[in-house]
Amino acid sequence: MKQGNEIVTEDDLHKYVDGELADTKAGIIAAAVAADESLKEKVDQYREINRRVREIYDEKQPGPLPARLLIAVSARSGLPVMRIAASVLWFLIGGLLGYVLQGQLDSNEFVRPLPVEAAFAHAVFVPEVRHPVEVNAAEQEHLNAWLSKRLARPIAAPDLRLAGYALIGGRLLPDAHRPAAQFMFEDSAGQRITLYIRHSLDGRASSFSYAQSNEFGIVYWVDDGLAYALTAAADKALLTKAAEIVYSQVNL
Amino acid sequence: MNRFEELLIEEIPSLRRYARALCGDHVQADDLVQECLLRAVSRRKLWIGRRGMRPWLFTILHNIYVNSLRRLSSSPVVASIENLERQSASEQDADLHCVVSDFEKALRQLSDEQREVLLLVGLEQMSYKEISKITRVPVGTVMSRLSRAREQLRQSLEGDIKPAIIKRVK
Repeated sequence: MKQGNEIVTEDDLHKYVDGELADTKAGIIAAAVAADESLKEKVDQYREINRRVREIYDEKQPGPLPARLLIAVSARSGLPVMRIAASVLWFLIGGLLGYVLQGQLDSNEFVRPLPVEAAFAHAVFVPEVRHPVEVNAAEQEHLNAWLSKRLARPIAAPDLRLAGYALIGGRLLPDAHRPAAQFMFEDSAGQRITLYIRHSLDGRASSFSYAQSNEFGIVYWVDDGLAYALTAAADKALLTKAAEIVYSQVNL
Repeated sequence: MNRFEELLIEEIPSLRRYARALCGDHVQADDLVQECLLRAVSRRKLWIGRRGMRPWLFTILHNIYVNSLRRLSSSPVVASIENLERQSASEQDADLHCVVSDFEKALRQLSDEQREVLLLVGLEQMSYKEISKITRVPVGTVMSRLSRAREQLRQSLEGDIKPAIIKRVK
């Protein structure tokens, strides 16, 4: 090996640093670099650049995977209208639901995660002035009976007056597999909160979870085969309080 | 969920990391990744599994990124209030982190093409050949971009006195 006499090109150095050289050639360059202080300095700097780039961006790994990315994966092509509608909604929902990937993958609810479905329904119907609900609170008994029939489970609008919310009414909604229900409530200032109820696909009971978007907070849980999600532009404490009320009334 | 979707999900973290490094803004980066995933799903028939999932996805991401740059450069930038807030928030964030800022600044100052190659090599540890396929330029061009990028960054390293010690102050 002719150390020092080898002509080491700039390209050789980059290839050497990036592991692009075959063993023999890499050996020759390694020897040349070892023998030449200025080459060694360059190689060290190139390595330092790689190291720093990784350091910067590995540190900036954000939290859980946003739900919208998971939805993109499970999106079915061919319905451009739906895609446009979805992007409009995502704009409203603000993208980043702090959503945990783990657990969702194990369950069938992955396709349309509960808080995502609930947030969609919330974003669509809450701004409605004239038709926020299909059946209003004046016909609450009918509403309960109707939704119970369609969901094939006894469903009743909870009483959220303790949390400061009065029932506006409710509606039937399509979900991925079976009909779902949405109840809407309003406080004295006109702030609305919705309760989304659907069949839980795996039926495993779960404790309260919280998801956050730019616009809404969502507290959701699974209990006795039904999945519940409370959505509002409110903080976690208020939502949790309301969720506890719902939970205790369902389990009377 | 099928194999295709599983593979796609496996790649999301590295797609996000790379997109964030490209865009510098995590909301924009996730927009990019979302679009990339949607395109991948709608073209799943084109993915035959011959090439790995990763190069394929990075190629799609590259194309969307390049197209969005073209759109940006040919149209005036209209910033919504929300974006402005985001921007100032990320600036504050940057202040907080205060990591080797000279280096990051130099990284920002690279041309888009140079930065892309540098990130694919340094961050994603891809081979020159893979990068050549993704960016659709000859290997020689990949190398000259890399070389120019490193040359510029080298100078910023020299400005830094204690590179590894300045950690985020949080």
